[in-house]
Amino acid sequence: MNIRALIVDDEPLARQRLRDLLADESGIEVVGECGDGGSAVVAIEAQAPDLVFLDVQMPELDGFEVIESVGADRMPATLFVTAHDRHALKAFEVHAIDYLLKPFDRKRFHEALERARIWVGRSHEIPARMASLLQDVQDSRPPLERILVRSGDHHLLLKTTDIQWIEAEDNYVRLHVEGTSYLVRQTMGRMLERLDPARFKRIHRSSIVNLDCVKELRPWFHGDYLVLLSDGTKLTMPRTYREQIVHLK
Amino acid sequence: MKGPVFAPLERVFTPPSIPETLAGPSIGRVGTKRRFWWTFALAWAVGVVYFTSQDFAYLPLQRPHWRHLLALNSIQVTVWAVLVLPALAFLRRWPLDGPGRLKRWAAFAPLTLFLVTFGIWGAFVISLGSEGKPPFSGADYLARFGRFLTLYFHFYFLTFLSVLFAYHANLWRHRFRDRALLASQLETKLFQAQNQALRMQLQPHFLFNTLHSIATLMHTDVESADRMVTRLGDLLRLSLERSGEQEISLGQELAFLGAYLEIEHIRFKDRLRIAIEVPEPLKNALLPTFILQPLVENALKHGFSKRSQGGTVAIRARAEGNSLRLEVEDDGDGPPLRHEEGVGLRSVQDRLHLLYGGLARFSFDRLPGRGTLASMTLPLRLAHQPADGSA
Repeated sequence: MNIRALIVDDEPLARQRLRDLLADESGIEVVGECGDGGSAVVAIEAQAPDLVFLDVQMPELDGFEVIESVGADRMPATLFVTAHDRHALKAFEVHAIDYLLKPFDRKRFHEALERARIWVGRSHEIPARMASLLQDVQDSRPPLERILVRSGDHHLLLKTTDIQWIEAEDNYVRLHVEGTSYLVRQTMGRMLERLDPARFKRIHRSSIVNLDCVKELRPWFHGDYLVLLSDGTKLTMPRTYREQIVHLK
Repeated sequence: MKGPVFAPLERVFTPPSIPETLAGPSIGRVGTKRRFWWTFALAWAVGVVYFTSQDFAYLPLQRPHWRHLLALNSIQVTVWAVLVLPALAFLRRWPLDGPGRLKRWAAFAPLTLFLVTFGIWGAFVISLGSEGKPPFSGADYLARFGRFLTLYFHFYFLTFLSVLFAYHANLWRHRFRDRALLASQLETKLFQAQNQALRMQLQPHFLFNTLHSIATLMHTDVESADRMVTRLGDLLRLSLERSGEQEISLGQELAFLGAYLEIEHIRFKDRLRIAIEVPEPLKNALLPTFILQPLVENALKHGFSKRSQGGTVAIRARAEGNSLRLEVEDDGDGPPLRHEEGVGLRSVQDRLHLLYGGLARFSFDRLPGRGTLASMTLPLRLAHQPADGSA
């Protein structure tokens, strides 16, 4: 059975390069091409390819954010393609993850592809590796600027600055944006780590607020606070979280 | 692409290392106001003591009353001190060197003659008062003053001029020091800009992606591969060759940016649109070397790279009276600037300020949903010969 491959790169010429080289390889079928991270997430979920050629630097959602959006546990075998990214390369080495450095020739491409074929057959090992890779590259990456959310049957690319507040819901978080909200499969802790710490503060075990949307802090019972958002939402902030926000006064 | 036409940069126009706009009066400040007045008061006191001692030595046998002499000389020196002030102000505003010095001398000479004559008249009036003589007729008054004037004019004129020239020399000293400082600051900023420009081409991400694109094109579109290799060569050569110049012509700057933009254009095919709107005569206008480069890089990064559907980067120039206005605009909706990009913009502003003082303006506006507009105005000066890049 053919390996079903997806090509993700923002440069048309780089996609063409992969397509040309793959045409000469046997047992591989290209099921799609994506020019940005958002459509890559959709394609991975919709087409469930066996192998993804994933460019690391891309507009809007980069390669790592694609994995975050899809979920490390749902990622197929991935061959990273990058021109240069010192932090990423180091992480790839540490986690023995295959990557291709641009520019590459037929020989290097072929070798990398052979290794990737092995991973396609061992897909159950992928989630743990992806999760540890993400954990590793996190510190060196800037905060999330955009996040991919599902709304009914389509996807939206949300600017993180538009999020007013975030609420925990079991294994999900609910992002509240201008009168509507979106569920994202993510934990509160992990979400907080990926957001701009100057803008987003955790005020409760189960809520994070965007400081730009906070209108008023009102003392409440027992030293707790009531946090009033500009859209009228009222949240409570236990005194144990007071340090998060008290310096703003 | 209706991009710029590229021409090799063989002859490099060399502008003066520091433009003449620097010679303005704002540079030659003599310390602070406070320091000036302290020096002035000290000079006054020295003058009083000096002239009193002269009188004392001149009239030893008559044993004049020393308090009387001191009071008389205080008044005299005060009159001179007041008269020297307008001359000092003149020198401060219009130093006797630099462009237009003939006109300045022409105004300075009569001013000085008038002040000295006026001062001697003051001394004359004081001497009359001190002698306690009764008033006399107009003709007699004039004749006496004429004698007084011929007696004292040469001495006072020389003294007066010495004070003025001492002040002028001090102005020079300070201006020289300020300019040396300014020149070294400018050098640092230019060096930073060069570094940044070099980094743009040698940015590993840019370089490797370009090479990768070339590898792809070689199999399918040899013509484009050819163009890309050539432009990459141009870019590296231009940034290596262009060392040490504070200013270059707009045509040269565009040749450099054009090579960069053309590579990006081939890489991203139809997604990148480039609009260069520069009237032909303005390609001779001078601007600080590499000043547009960080702005174009920002426009690409924010207006374009972050948008998968592509965008337009526009570079515009126009003359507004005696000023040159330059704009770099994109139509994207990128994220806010990161810290190091803000630093790049600030360095643009710093260089403009150092080179042109208050004559240059810089602004950077993010128009929500409509991209970014970076614009600057600077004094419009043309290179004396047509620059090569403007072909």
